[in-house]
Amino acid sequence: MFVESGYIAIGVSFALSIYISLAALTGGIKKIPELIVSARWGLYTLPILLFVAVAALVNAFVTNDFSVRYVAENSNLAMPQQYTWVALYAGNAGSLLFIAIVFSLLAVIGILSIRKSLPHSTPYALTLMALVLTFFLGIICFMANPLERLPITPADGQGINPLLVHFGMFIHPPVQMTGLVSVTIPFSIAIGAMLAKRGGRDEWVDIGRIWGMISWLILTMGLLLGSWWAYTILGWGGYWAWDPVENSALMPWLAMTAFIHSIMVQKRRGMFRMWNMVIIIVAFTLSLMGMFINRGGPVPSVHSFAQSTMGWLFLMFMGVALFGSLIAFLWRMDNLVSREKLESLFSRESMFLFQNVLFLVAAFITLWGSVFPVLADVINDTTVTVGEPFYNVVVGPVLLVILAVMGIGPFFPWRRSTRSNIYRAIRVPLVAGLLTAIIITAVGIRQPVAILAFAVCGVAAAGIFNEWVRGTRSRMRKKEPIWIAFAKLIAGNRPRYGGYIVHLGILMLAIGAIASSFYSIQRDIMMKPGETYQVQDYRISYIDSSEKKYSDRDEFIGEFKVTKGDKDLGMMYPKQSFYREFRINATHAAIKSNPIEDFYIIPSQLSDDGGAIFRILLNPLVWWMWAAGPVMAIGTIFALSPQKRLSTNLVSKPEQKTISS
Amino acid sequence: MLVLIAIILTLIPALIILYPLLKRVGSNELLKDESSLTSELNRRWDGVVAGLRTAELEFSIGNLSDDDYKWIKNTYAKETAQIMEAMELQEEEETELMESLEREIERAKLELANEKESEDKS
Amino acid sequence: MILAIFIAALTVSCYNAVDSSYSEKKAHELNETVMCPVCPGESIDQSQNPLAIQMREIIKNKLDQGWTDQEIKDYFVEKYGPSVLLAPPSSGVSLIIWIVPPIIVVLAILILIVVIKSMTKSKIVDDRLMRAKPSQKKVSEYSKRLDKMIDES
Repeated sequence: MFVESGYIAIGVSFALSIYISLAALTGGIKKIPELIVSARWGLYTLPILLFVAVAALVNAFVTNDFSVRYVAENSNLAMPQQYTWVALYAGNAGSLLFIAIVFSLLAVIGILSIRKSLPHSTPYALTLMALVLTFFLGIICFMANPLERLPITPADGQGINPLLVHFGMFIHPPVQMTGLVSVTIPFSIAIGAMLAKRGGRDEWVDIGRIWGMISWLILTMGLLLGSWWAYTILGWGGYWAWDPVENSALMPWLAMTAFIHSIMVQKRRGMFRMWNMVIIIVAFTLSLMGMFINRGGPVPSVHSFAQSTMGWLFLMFMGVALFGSLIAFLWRMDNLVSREKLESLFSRESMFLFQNVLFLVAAFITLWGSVFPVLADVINDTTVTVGEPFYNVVVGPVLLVILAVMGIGPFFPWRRSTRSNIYRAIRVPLVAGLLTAIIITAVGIRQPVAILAFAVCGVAAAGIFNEWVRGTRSRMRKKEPIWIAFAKLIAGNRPRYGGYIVHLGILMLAIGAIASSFYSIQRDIMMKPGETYQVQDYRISYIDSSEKKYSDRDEFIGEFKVTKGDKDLGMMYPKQSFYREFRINATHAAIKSNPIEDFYIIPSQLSDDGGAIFRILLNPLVWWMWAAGPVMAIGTIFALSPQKRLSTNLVSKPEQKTISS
Repeated sequence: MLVLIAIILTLIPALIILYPLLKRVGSNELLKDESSLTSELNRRWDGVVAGLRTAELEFSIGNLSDDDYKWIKNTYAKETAQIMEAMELQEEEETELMESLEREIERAKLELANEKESEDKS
Repeated sequence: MILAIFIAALTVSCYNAVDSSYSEKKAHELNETVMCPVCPGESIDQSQNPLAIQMREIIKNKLDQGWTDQEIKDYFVEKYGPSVLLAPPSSGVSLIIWIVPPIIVVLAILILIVVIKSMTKSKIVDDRLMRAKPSQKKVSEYSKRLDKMIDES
């Protein structure tokens, strides 16, 4: 009965979200405040209703109610309770419900954040959010209801996909899905303001920028967590495969990175108004595509956990959203004329524009690569695969240029500068880049692309540190001690320095990615117990293997003793599990990680005599990639933290005059 | 039992969304105009302050040349003057509006008093 | 001065710089370009599927026998079809995939030029501040006050 209650709750939610869209829109257009309030209150009720549905689902899992189809498909009697969390979003229907409730919560917070400051834009923003909710709830209600019952109750369920049973899976999918759907909030605020004829009035920009950055941060974390999970669990020693679903999460991230930069220009100078609208529309469309490709889109990938026709519904919704937004944009274009003009090509504003274009190029090339196999199949009936070699050659250079721009960008002042000034200023990072190239070539790096890439990193690092050092020094002229000077410097300019901290994180990511792409050492070797092997100055002794039989899987555990030079590094236990019912192999890498390199063992093929083929990897600098995550989070939060407004003693705020009667 | 739950699940949201319509809640929902001139002037002032701060920082770091720094400061000074002027203009307009409204109210009161007098007389 | 700090940081990170001389480098590169036919979207380098492992052996043997990269790739294409290669060959339909990215770049440059041109033009904007025309005296007065404000902060 709990299940039926949840079922009803979903239906009511669907109807409610339709009401919210209509009421908010009508209230906004006809200026009927009561309707708007009614719509808002309706929105506040939605998370509660959806919580009933989620609670019903959780309860069904916990009580092993296999009469519910979703529970039967995603769990079994042997499944430990804590995996219920993962099972909730492991399958298509459950993940849609997850997205719906998370988005409803985000929408509530979003509306609460704008209703006082943007009263006229709120109804339209609310309409847009409600329309997206209606879409998701409609699909859940009519096509993929997780609370649907089976005609016959099976004795046991199918069990959860073994690949999901890892710590990383407890956070990556929820964070990733939240990130994708969170793009809707800044989108709704921007387009809502535009519909209310206030797109060019910039009031929405303050809160729009904040939500943009929040959404960006969640997307970043989702991508990093996914890469980390792939690295430790999927077992090929890599972390990014340019898989279509990975790409579909990357593309909105690229667009949002562009957005959070160009929105700053609108905030400061009332420029880029049209440009920002287009960017957020692109970002939103790409985020829908991200969710679409995850539903079992037409491109096969490691991720396709649900082959279904609802992908086409998503595609249609995406098309409607894109075209609707663009038409609205053309309609309201007159309101979006910039307030000020671009004074100089050698300004930070124009650098941001250039950066934006680069990010969009990267996004569209990735899009092309992801979509091409489908096109080739449909149009020409040819099967092609587009994988890493393509993207490395085509997107790689673009990313490298972006990195270079990130490096010299800080040398471009706001508003204007001259060519000679810029040349003078960027001498420093360019020299640094050259020095980097020379040094690393001397140390032994020979691959030209790697040298170039590291040199660019050198440019970027110099760019960041240069400003920190010079800024602190100039404050120190006022007799402040170095630490106080530095602290005051960054506390007084939080968006700017928070941004540089994030750039530092990106740099860490880049260094790790470049080093591990070019300089990993990989060995696939066959070892029997008792044998040893040497790689560089690591020596591993294969002590023994053990096999454990669990109810759902057979585990093979290798026992290794590892030494580096004459230092004992302890034991490593790479594992391979064979899940009998799913007929899937899942591996668990054994990793000894330090900031310099990762030593990585994974079993690949087992033979009957207790020996096995092991893959050994030496991945340099990968540690930095994961360390970059917290750095970027700290930087973002710092950039978002509110600054004390300077005293406004030059401005007297006019008081509200009241009519005396 | 299930019917009861169904009723509750439908009725409560329905009541919640109907309440503002029936009780006329929210008449001041659209009262504040986010696009008022005052809010824009305040935003422009914040922009000037931020811009000057940044220019100062970039000048001290050495990214901004003397000439550009002076030009930026001058531009912001002009904009500040414009903001102040616009605020004063608006205050003047508002005062005028207030005064004419008060005059209207006075006149209406007077007319009402006159009417009453003539009524009493007749 | 800054350079000193920065170089220090970089040298530390380069210290590990593993030299790139490893055997099987050729095989590794090739492995990354061939897809495992029975696993969705994984290269035979990534996948731990028995077939993938077998294919890696085949590549190693053929390299030892002296086959060239292209010959090995052709061999697999014959067996499994062109979709077994992760990077589409540069001929026929697949040529299109390589042509479009440069087109995207060119388009982007054009858009950038157009947008910059339009942004640098002076605009007649409905700027609500335009009706305010402060006197020169006022401007210099505010200029002084702003300077003072900056010095104080």
